[in-house]
This record gives sequence, structure tokens and C-alpha cells, in this order.
Amino acid sequence: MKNYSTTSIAELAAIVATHLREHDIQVVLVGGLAVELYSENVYLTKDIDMVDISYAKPAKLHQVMAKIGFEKSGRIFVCASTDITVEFPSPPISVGDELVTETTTVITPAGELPVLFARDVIKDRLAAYIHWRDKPSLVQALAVLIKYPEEADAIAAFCEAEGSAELMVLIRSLLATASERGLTNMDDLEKLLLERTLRSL
Amino acid sequence: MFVLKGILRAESQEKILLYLLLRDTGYGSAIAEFFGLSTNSVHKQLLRLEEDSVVVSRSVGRLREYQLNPRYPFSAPLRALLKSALAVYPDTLVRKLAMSRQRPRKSGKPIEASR
Repeated sequence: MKNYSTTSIAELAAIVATHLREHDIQVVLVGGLAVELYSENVYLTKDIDMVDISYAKPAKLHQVMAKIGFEKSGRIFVCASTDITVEFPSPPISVGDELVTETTTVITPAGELPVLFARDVIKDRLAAYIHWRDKPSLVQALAVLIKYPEEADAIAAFCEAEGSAELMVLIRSLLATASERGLTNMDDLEKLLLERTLRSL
Repeated sequence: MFVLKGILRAESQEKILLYLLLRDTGYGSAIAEFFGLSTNSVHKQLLRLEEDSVVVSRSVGRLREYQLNPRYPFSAPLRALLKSALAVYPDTLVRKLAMSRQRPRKSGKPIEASR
């Protein structure tokens, strides 16, 4: 059985996606690892979330995952040689009220990895902030948006559609300060948001 | 630590008010767990604060969710006082209180390593 103890999480995601594709199961990376890939940040997620857009039967998914050493444990797949886990959230893929129909692919040293577009990763995190006031999600959205500033207009439209047009005002203000201070990593962005939160109390 | 000792009745009152200031809403058990206080003392103080209109609550299933009462006549000075008290607390605790994950996590999903 392959030992994944030294395999990076992104490489492992590509290995799993490639293996599943070879068995006619198409998956798309979503969640924290997608944030990590696009923000080029060390976010230290330990789980790979992939949506099975080919709607494979659970028994087939279990069987194919077992071939590369991953067994189902509760709702996640675990492997003895790594503490990285894999989960398959239910399809379809959606962010906020939008269904996601187009995805892209990133190239990793271990192969191709289908993944949400950066704009959808940002929307996913902003939806968590809008609905649960989850500040870490806003920090993650900012970290990706800093790397993909061309998505700002699409994000503004999303905020408006979600009834949170004022959120974009906050985002633009945070981005401007981050740019002035040269902040790009999540730790610094979190401090910036904390500073803004305390000021607004 | 109990910064507003002399003004507030109990340390748990201070912790409750700071929690609600930073997180907007909270359950008694979550507040107690965050600060390592007894659930009983937190519930007792929440009832007192609600009786005096400092906080308001609503029922969510079998739980009661509390928030600072925006219609409390001394809401603005209370917030200013709490903000001053907050400045004395360690940055790490303030950060943890203000920035912790609020979005749901599916049961059985591993907790992400913290940065």
C-alpha cells in the first residue's frame, strides 16, 4: 500500500482525483484546501473536500477509495499512513444561492486537480460570513481576493445578490488597508479584521 | 481576571457582557465553556441581566440565545465601558473571542489545525 506520510495535501488531492477519474468518478475540490491553493497561504487544513459531480454510487466510491488505501470512517475517508482525511460533500456544488456549473483545473506535481474557480471559492467563504458572521471565512475570502483582484466586480455583484451590498464596502476598505500595509498572509489579515472589529464596537 | 470589579456584580457578568459585545449573540453554555466558568453561575447572571433589561433572549429549540439589549437606556455607555475593559484583556483572548470559527462544522469532520 502506498505510503502518503510525506505527500503534501495538494498532491494527495490530485492523486485521489486522478485515481477516481480513472474509475469514471469526476470530483471537484472545494472547501479549505481550495482556499489554500488560491491564496497561496498556509492555512493548515487537514481535510480534502471533493464533490463527486458524477454522482457515483456510495459502494463504488468506497471500493475505489479502498484501492488507494482510504477507508470510510463515519462521514470521512481515512488512511493509516497520513492524518489527511477526505470527505465528499453532497453534490451539486453551490455557493450562496448560485449553482456552480463551471470549474477549472490546477496542475500539481502529482497531476491535474479539478477545482472551483477562485471567484467561487471567494463567494463560498463570503456566504459563510454573511450567514454565520464567520470572521475566519471573511479573512480567507480576502486572502484569495488579494491574489485575484480582477474578480472584485463579480464579488460585488454576488454580495448585492445576497442582500449584503454593504459587505463589499467593508471588503474594499480592508483590501485598501491591506495593500497600503503590504499584508497578504491570513494571520496579518486576521489581525487587520480584528482591529477593524474592535474599532467598530 | 475581573476588570470591572466594583461596578459589576460578578466576574461572570463581565465575561458574559464581553462575549456578547464581540460575538453579538451567545448561549449560556457556550459562554461558560469559552471562559471555563460554571454553567450555573453564567445562567444565573444571564437571568439577572435579562431581568434588568441589559440583555435580551430568544428561544432557539431547547436553548436560549442572548444578546445585548439594543434598547437598554445605557446601551451606548455600557458598550464604551466594556470596550475599555476589553483593552486590558490579553490580545490572544480577545482575538480568540472575536475571530473564532462560527460557521457550522459537520459532525465527524476533523478540526482544522489552528494557525
